[in-house]
Amino acid sequence: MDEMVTAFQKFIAADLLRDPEYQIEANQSLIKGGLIDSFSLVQVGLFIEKTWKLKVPDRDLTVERMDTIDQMVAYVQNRLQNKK
Amino acid sequence: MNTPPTYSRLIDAAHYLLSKRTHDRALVAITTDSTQTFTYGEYFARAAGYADTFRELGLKPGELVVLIQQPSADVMFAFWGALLMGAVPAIFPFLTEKLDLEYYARMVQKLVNISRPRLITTYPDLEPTLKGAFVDLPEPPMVTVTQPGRVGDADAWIAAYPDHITPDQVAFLQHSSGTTGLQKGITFSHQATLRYVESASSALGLSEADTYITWLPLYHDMGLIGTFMMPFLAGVGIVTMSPFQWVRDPKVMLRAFHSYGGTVTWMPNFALNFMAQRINPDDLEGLDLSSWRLLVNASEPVRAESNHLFSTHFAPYGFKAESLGVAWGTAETIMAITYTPLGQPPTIDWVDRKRISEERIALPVPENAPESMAYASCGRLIRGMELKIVDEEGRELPERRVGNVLVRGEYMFSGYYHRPDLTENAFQEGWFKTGDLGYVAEGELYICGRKKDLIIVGGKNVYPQDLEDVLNTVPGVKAGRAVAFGMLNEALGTEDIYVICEVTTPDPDERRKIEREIRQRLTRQADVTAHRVILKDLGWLVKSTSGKMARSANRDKYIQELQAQTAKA
Repeated sequence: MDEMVTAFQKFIAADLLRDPEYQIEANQSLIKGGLIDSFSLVQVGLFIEKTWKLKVPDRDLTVERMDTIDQMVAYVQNRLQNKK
Repeated sequence: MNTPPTYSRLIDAAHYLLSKRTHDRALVAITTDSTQTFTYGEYFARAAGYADTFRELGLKPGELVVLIQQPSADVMFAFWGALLMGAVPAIFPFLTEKLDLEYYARMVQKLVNISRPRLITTYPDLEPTLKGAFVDLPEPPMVTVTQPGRVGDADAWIAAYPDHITPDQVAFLQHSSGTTGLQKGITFSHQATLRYVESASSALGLSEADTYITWLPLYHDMGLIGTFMMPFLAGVGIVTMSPFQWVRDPKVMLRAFHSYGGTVTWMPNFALNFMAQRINPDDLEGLDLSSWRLLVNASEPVRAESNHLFSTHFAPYGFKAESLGVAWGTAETIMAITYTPLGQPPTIDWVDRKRISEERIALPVPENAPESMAYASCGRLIRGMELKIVDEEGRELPERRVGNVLVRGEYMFSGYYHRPDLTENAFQEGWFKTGDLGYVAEGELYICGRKKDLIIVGGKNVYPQDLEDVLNTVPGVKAGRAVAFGMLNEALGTEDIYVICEVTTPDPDERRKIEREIRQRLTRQADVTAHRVILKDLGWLVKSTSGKMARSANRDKYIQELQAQTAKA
């Protein structure tokens, strides 16, 4: 799980913020907190698809469901479990 | 195929559409759950239902009704409902999930204080907040939730249309977003709107055989005029979806082109990058986009790269590069007033980078010359308008000299609603100051920048002063020592927002807290996401000679600092 958190932290800092040094907390509100915009969720979806080989339907990419790294991790874990 | 006749008031267009096109398709509304189709007859019956409701609520001809509704077919019915009864509708941005309710209510209060609407219609979630927002006003507007689905007798409304409403009267308003934008309710008269639609439709070659496909929000001028009122008045069917649906799944738009034989759309530049990057070719199997004859790129600076990216990505499915067009204008000129010629990609002008930045001369050079840079043409003026390029003293400049773009002509707004002071400032000896910088070459307009520090993000105007007002209230930021500006993000095809603030604390943890607070407030109070929040020690920011924060000078200083860092690394 910690690895997953780190993976999201690295991806968001490097690819979305283009500032690899930027520190993000797992429970930090990303979109409502003004760090990334809702268009970036599309890239979050693509990142999940690529990294964990999951198909992310567009309806899951909402601010309510994906505003923190904790939420993103829970989403991926949940999907991976259901896949088994 | 009939060509609609010339009208003098919007109601005459409604009469024509209702009597001659009753059974033709006016609107298709695609939502995530369903698709609904309305003929002109059905469309106006719904609009008349709204007119009935408005009358029962006490709204009278000439009075302002503000529509704050989620994107839907109903907001389009309600808009025409108000027009049918001779009231003045304005569509106002609705609350997004990020925006703070209290700040939103304050924004609406500001609008109400200036525009004095008689009625505000909204959706259930927002009703209590809005009702509470105006209790202290001497004449508060009524706030109501209207029920969709009501139908009425549009013929009766048309027959009863007030004679005293003349073509030069204000038919509807449009407000842009943000505190600054709200001060300016742009007024559209019947006559200017109809003449504009006639001239612009002819520039676009619109006919009743066309079909528009659009997701643009209607509180924005390109959405309201470009993809709603213009096609509607020209008798062109419209297929709509909400902007949220499009963001989540932009393929919906392409499927609509395929299914409805779509021919025309308008989008801001970033949307071309977004669609090309977002849509996976595997998902396009079997899709036919060959009916698509025109994609007008407008409302933010056009990038030749974005046009290229889009047309190559979708060419295998029938999209043609010559379908790309560019248009330019402002809400004060009703909408876009220059258009590139149909059936050919916009001209690209290669000029010398040094000469244009230092001497403001657009000197043509070969594409592969060192220091060459490209501008995409915004096209030629439509008939009925005039344009000139002037220097700071107001002297007219010859071709290929960069200066302020001024316009005048038949299609102009009738002033900012209830703000004669702002209206007067907007003109210079009868010419409207667009705030854009550009040059003319071989009769075509090229836009190179803006005189105002306006930031355009994803086609949406963001006023830096609105952001700076927010920054100045953040604890830890030295009040009056903050600037906001835009910088191009080539990958996204639009501008990113940068803010620089001076802070007193040297403590990194404190600074991190301030940075987060700034981001949060910008999102909740101004509905924008800052790409970079830069905190500097006191004294870093440059002030202009007049004592104001100089945005462009600070941007240049920041860029130079970055370049120096990169050089060191």
